[in-house]
Amino acid sequence: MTDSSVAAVPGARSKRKAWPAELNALIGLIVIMILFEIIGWIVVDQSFLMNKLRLSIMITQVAVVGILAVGVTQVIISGGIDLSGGSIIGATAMIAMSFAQVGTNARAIFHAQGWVDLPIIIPIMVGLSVALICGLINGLLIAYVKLPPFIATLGMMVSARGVALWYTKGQPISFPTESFMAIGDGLMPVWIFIAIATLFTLILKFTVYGRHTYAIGSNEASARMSGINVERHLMLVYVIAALLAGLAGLVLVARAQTAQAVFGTMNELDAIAMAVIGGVSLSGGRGSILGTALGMLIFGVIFSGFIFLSVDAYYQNMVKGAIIVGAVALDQWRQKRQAREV
Amino acid sequence: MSSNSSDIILKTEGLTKHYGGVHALEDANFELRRGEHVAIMGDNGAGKSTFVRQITGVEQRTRGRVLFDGQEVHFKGPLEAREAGIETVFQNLALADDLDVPSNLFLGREKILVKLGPFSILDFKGMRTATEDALKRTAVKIPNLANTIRNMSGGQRQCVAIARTATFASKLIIMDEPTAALGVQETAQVENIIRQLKANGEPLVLISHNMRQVFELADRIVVFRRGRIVANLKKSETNSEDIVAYITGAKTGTDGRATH
Amino acid sequence: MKKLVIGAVAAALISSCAQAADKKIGATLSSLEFTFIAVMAKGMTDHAAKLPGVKLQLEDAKNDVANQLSQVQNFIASGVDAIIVNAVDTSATQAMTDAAAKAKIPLVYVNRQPINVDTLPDNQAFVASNEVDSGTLETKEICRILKDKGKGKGANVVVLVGELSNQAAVQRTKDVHDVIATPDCNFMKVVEEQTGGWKRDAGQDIVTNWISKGVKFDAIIANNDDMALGAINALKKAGISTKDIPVGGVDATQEALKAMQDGDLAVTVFQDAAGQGKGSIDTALKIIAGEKVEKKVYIPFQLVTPANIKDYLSKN
Repeated sequence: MTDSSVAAVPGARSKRKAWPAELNALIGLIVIMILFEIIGWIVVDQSFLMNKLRLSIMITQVAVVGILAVGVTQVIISGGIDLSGGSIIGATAMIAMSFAQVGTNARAIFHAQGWVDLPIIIPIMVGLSVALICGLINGLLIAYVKLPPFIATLGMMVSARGVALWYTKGQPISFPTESFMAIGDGLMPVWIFIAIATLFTLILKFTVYGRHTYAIGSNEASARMSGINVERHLMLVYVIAALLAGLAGLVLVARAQTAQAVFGTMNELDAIAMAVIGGVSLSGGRGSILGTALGMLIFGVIFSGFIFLSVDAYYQNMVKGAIIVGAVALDQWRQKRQAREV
Repeated sequence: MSSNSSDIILKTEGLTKHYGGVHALEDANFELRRGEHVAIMGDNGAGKSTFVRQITGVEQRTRGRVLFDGQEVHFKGPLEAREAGIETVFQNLALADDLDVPSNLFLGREKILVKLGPFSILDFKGMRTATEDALKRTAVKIPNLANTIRNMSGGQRQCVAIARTATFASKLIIMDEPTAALGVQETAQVENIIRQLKANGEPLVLISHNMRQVFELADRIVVFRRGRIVANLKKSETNSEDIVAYITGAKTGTDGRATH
Repeated sequence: MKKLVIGAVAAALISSCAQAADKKIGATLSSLEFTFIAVMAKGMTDHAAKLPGVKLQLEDAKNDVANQLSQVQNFIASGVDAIIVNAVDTSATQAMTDAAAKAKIPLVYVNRQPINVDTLPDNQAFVASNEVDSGTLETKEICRILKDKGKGKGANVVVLVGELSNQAAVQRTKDVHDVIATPDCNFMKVVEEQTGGWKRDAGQDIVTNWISKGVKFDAIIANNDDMALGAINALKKAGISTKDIPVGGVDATQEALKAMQDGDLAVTVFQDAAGQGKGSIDTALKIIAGEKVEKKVYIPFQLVTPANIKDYLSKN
């Protein structure tokens, strides 16, 4: 048999441990934190990191978009894209909030009907139902009508925002019940994010759902050949993404204690950026929730860091943009190098 | 013929495929016995792949009959064909680049530890053990099963694709130019696997352009030209000049059918 | 979707007064995504509905300059009697002015000041509140409160700025600095300034970050109420009393008024959105009737404090 020698050659090559994309994000996060720490001592004369309140706000201020980003991550891994998340946040926020108002507010949307001071489960179920409908439409258009995900979710992005605006003709909805506000209070958004991120890390790693998500993103034709019901699976992927966007919308209104039709605008792009910075490949098949969480933390650290240094938001956006481009460039370079090695 | 019909695993009668006005496949009559390895040769566009696509249900035939394992079949898609026991190694390897070897072998038919609908929990250990067994059966050597396909050489990928067909109890394996994109050493590795399949008594349809390979591995050679089967020859009764003559059209006629 | 709904509203308006000798008014608004513009739109439709023989057609330009210009051209083509424009880009208004002037159709700009406001032809006008007033009223009131608290010798203030690209944010922030530059209020000092993009959660996050940094401030001046309410949340979470730190906003939203009643918000400024919408229609009708109107018609800003809050509870 000659194959033992044959196998040895490629075998030796593949023994080099692949450099996980998440590691780039982790190194980036640490470098940025150290930078702010050093500049902090020089400019502000205090520690950036050794501050409990700052550490908590760093995470809290990005946790809502983080919840959205978990859903977006699994969409990107499946080889798709979801631009509708931000608008679904808006639609969910508005409609859910109208079922979470206190009775003492005479201008509550459903005051006449007496639908005020409702138990917390009602606005949550209403909000998630709105998201579910959006997700079903996305899934249907992408999996069965075969529209490109970019187009289908772009349509949903515009339409769901339309729903959010139409619902009260642009008027904000305010005065939620105490119990509803609790889901956005203090560190609650962070705990919800951690729970969701952990759940989906496990799902992507250990279940058939995760395996098929990676397979479809990796090579949809082969997934189909292998007997995966690609249509049904993509349907589920987009429904889950929309439900997580809906959850993000609920947490956001509870935190802001008000709902506005513009809520979530541009959040879908932040979520995609978080995933990309965390090493999730836009061509599908690769990435993890952990990476996205690291990308989220980078955003949080930058936001707090720039306020810490009293630097204008203009610069913040410039730096954010540069990091997104840099992360993708690094990933491409890594892929090319890997392709050369094999 | 009827006496040994149970011996026949695959038979086509008058299999025909027209794409609009193009007659890609015309009246193909073909037989494969259990344990037999048959090579299909022919120029590009001669109808080889079209022939395979009609059998495996990737496309729907214009007319004709396909009998598989004694039964007339009409697969609606490649999945049905596979469920019936026909495993195909396609030209464009149907592998998911970002998954490791066991995941690819069991893609779409994962072993399950806890059943929870789409969120059923995977049986990693079971799939790994079964993968090792399958690789042993096909004499494929992959150094690190946890490596993703992306990080593997073309030969290793092809081996994984072939091993996948052998993982599940299949009645017939079809390979569409399995070594077309491979180097010399990698080709040798794949050919070893094919010999192993022969030793195991698994029937095989091998589409190939490689004359040396065909004469080394096949029991019988079928030549397609312009959508028709123009020759059907036992390896012992022909030689490469003869086959080339049929492929190029220098030699014509249906004398090949005599050995039917 | 948005357009459909607006269309439906417009259709209802049209059918309700189809018999009268119609005055057709076409209005194009920068973007209904902004609450203020939406309230203004409602002010317009409500007012038009009360006027017999006035047909109002509302269009949303969706923040697109080209879109808005073509909407104006469509109004002209369909022969409206007057056009109302809430400009998407205040520096790109000349083309719309020219188009309307050429067709001899009256045109009224509302809320956002066009760049060519001083050279508008006779049958065109600008209806708005004087933006300089809002930030000035707010900052002067904060200045007064700080003095009352005995901090007239020196006080730190932090500023929450709206969307950077927005004229009102730029103007209101400039007002803050202008008031502080006056001898009356120069004891105040801006120690931090950051943009919260009009958003409440951003206002809360930014103020929390300032608190974590140990920034010492005596007052918070926000470009709008939502950011001010976010700031109040942040103060409360950090255990800081709003009695000690006066917080100011602009807009006098329902929630801001509620927060003021609760003793959390010290000052806000009422910009009469519905009044501007109503004023734009009245001005357009006057021009149609051949009456003389001012080039700039101002609907005044009004300072809202706990002392006069009752007057505003049902206005927005």
